[in-house]
Amino acid sequence: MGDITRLLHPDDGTGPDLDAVFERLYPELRQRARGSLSRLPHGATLTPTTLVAEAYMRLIGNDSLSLNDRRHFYACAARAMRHVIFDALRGAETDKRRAQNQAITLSPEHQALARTTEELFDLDQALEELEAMAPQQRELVDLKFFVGLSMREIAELLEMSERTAWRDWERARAWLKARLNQPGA
Amino acid sequence: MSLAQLSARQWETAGRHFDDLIELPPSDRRLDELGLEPELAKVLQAMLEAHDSEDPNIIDRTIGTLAATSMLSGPGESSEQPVQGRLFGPWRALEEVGRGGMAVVLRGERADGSFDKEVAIKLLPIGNDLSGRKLLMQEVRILARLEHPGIARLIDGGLDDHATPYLVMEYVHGQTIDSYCREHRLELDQRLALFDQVLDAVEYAHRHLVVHCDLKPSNILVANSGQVRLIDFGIADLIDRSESTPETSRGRFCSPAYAAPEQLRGTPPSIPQDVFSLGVLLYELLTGQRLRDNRAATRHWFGLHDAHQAPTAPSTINPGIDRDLDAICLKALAAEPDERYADAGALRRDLECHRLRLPVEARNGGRLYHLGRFASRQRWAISAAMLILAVALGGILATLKQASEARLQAEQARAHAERAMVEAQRAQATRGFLIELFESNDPEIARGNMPSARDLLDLGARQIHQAMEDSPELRAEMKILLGRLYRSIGLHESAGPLIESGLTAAVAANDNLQQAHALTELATLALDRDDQQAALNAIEEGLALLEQQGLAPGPPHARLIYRLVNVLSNLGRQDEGLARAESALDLAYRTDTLNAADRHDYLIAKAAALALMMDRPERVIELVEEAMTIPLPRHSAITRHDRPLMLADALRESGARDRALEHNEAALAMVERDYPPLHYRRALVLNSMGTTLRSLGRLEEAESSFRNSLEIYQALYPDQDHPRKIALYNNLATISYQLGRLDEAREHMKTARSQVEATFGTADRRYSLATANLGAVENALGNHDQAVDLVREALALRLAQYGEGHPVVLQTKDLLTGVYMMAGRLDEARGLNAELLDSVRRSENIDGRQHLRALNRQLQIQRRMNDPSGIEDLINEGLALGEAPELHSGEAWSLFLLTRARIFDQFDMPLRCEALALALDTHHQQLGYEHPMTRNVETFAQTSHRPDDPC
Repeated sequence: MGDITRLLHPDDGTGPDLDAVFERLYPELRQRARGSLSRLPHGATLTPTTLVAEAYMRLIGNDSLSLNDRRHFYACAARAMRHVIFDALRGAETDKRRAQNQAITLSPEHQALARTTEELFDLDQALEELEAMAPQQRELVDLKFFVGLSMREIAELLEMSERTAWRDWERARAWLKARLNQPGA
Repeated sequence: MSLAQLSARQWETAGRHFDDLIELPPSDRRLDELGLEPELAKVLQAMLEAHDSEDPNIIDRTIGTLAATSMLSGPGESSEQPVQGRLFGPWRALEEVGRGGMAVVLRGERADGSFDKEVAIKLLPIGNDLSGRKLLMQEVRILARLEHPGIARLIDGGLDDHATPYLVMEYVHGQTIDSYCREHRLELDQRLALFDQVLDAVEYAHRHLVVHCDLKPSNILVANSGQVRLIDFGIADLIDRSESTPETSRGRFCSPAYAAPEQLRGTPPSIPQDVFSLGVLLYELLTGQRLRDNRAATRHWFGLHDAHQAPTAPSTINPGIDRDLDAICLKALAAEPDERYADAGALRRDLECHRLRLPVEARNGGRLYHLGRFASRQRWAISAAMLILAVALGGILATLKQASEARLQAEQARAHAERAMVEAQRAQATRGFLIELFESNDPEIARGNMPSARDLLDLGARQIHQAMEDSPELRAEMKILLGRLYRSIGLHESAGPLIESGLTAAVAANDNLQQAHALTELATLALDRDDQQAALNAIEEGLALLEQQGLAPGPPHARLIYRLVNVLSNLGRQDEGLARAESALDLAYRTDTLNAADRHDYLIAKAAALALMMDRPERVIELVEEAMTIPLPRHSAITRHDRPLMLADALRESGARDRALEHNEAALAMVERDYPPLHYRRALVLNSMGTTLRSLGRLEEAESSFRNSLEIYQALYPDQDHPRKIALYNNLATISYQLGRLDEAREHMKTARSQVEATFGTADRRYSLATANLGAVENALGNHDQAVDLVREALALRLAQYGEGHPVVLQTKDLLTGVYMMAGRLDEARGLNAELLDSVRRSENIDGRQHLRALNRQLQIQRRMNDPSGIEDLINEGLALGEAPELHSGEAWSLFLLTRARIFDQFDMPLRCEALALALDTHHQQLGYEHPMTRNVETFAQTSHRPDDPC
């Protein structure tokens, strides 16, 4: 039995230790993301789904997981992927702030990066607000945006029909877009 | 307005209404009739607007793209200390004067006052970022090579107290070139004079094999004296790649508004990229407008412009521009690097021609291009004559231009100028001769009828014996040229005697280079006629001559080596070809006096030798890519059509199939533009493209590619067993095989095999390949005993050809194992595969895919024998291999996961569903939905469905 499986299923029956699962997953994904980025041909993009699937295979391997455990695993994976991305952005953000203090014109590449960074930070804030109203939809958005699961996979994990998953996604997406479109958001 | 936070209950209400309302057109939505609390109605309204809006939003983007963007700039350490007064070694900073994507530039002075000039101090704000530091130190190394009035001088450099690397350069008091032109309201000729200074400096850098990589107005300063200075070699690179940093990151540091299309795709830095940036600058100086605005540049940066859009001619913006300048500017801006000027010097010479009102190279290229376009509309017969003459004239005009350039520099280089003058006189005479052909009293031409290529050449051949009596060398050269032109339009009978006669004349004139040239032409002619032995004799004679005369290594020698590799391969002597190419390239590397451009054909020759042996594709890619950093030499042994093709083949062999297809497509577009429909070059490209498509699982497209290719060969070589036709029979056979048309596959493969045997004998590698493939076909047809015999024969041959442990031998063993399995000879299969697996495990430099395939086979055998012993260890061994990301691109990984799923199913293991899901997901992701293997795994998923325990 792999250690993640044990964390999801402690022998003492106390319920899954999700923080520990996250602790284990985060460096794994971070390393894989960086590793595959450096190997990818120029212009290619990461597929978080593959990263997570690989991590799943490495950490869970041939152990059998219940649906509920799988759902926990993927929730942790989404959290970890989110951190991987934000870590990278925070570094870039530091550069950006420093540059702004000195009031110089940024090159187009920095401007684009800065825009992306800002949007992602705003999105993160909006997701927190969404969670307060609709925790399940937030989980759905996390799985779609940060792990890149298909709607069918999400529906399976969250034990809902695909139709419901799509409906929830449309609601959450519209709200997030509206929230992000607000001036000063 | 702000979006109120809703309670869970309100959210649910809003959601329900949202679901209903989005089904209605906006005009039919009556929000006010719903009786909602105002807060809630506001949120709902905002959601509906957001839903309808087409505005891009981050939520719809892919996190993978975002991650890739953000991670390219890693986290940095801040140094918030004010710069003023900070010390860098003996230098004190005064103020910050600029900041680019990579570095901060400070104005400074010598702290102890011992140096009275101001300096520019350049440092990287990213504290301990290694790649930034590496770039800065690289700049030191590069600048130290360059000493030119147009390049800001390097004064000092080192690490400060915080270990921040810094550079000290002369401080240029001045303005950027664009604002200088604007403020001084410079006229066109004054602008061009400034631009000439830029070219002078860049040409100097190019001659020293330094590419600037980031030429743009802000890096080009004009001092108050009017002297131009280039600054910021921060991302420059040496053409010699030994000191280079990773390409992917460097490509991204450049300024998108000025970068060449291929630079943004991350190709390694090259001189043509600088030429493109110079073209953008010239465009700006000519028109006063940016070629790409910021928005376009940023879109460009993110690859949103798929195709490079050809810029409009500068004269459409500034009517004062003449057509020659238009042509020069657009040639520098050509999308294809090969179509640009070879370097800054060539661009400069063409502008000089424009200034002196001489014909410019760009216009010739333009005419040729239009002729090419015209010609492709099936007017080949007529325009060939024009093309040939234009090519010949193009070469002569280039010589003339070099001569005029040389005249200008006569004070500095009298000897050089004299040599060039002699060349120019020869060129003048040649041009005179060719023009006379056109202006002759031929009544057909006088009536305005276009002469055919044949007419012109015949006229030339008749006159050459009397012409140029005072210059026997030139006459020899012209004979060889005419012979070559005959050959190029397929008139071999007329070509041979002219070249022979040119050779005799060159021997009489004791002109060694011309002799070698003639021998090269004879070899090419013999190759065209498929007379391998005659070709080999001419090549060896030429090589011996050049080596005797101390002319090796050098471009003529390299061209002969390239032909040698091909001839030896045609004669089935590939090993010898590789050995000769290798030692020639070694010689070229060892010879310091040889410049990088002259290594081009040696690199290509070795790459071709390896490719012909179907060996080490990664090395072939390296060699071709190294060659591609060099602009194609004027008289290269290959054409610009060959490089993308070689690269495509090697990329495909190495598993990078999508990139291979891109290069195939580029090559096809090029040949379609440049050659008539029935030309072997088209057939070559189509064959390569078919092979790539096949490897991508796009079998129908692949088959039609192969068929088109074969049709061309059949038209060109109707009665012969041509080697190229053999390869196509083999390829068509494999396609028919994959498409399940086995009888057809057998026929094609038999044809291929018997033709190889007749032409090259059974020791040739292509024979063992055809034999193995025929074995695979017979196997599929159920003729197991024949299959076993054939594959065993192939294995024995390949053991002798490649040696134990070679990937090709392992592949053959893998095939034989499969054949044994099909024949039901499971014990033999298990024995052979155990041997195979063992040698794979022991080998150190084996491809992980081979290992995975062998494991996979072992699992399949045990599944067939219903023997689960040790099966978990085998699976774990495979999973461990799967941690290497490069494995994921191939079919082996997908296949392994399918076998794993089948085993879990057969032995009823607990993770049956997960294994199946992973296999499905991996097939979808890696091979796509259309791949036959994907269909296979989907079929398995359906058949393995258990109603009692569904997945």
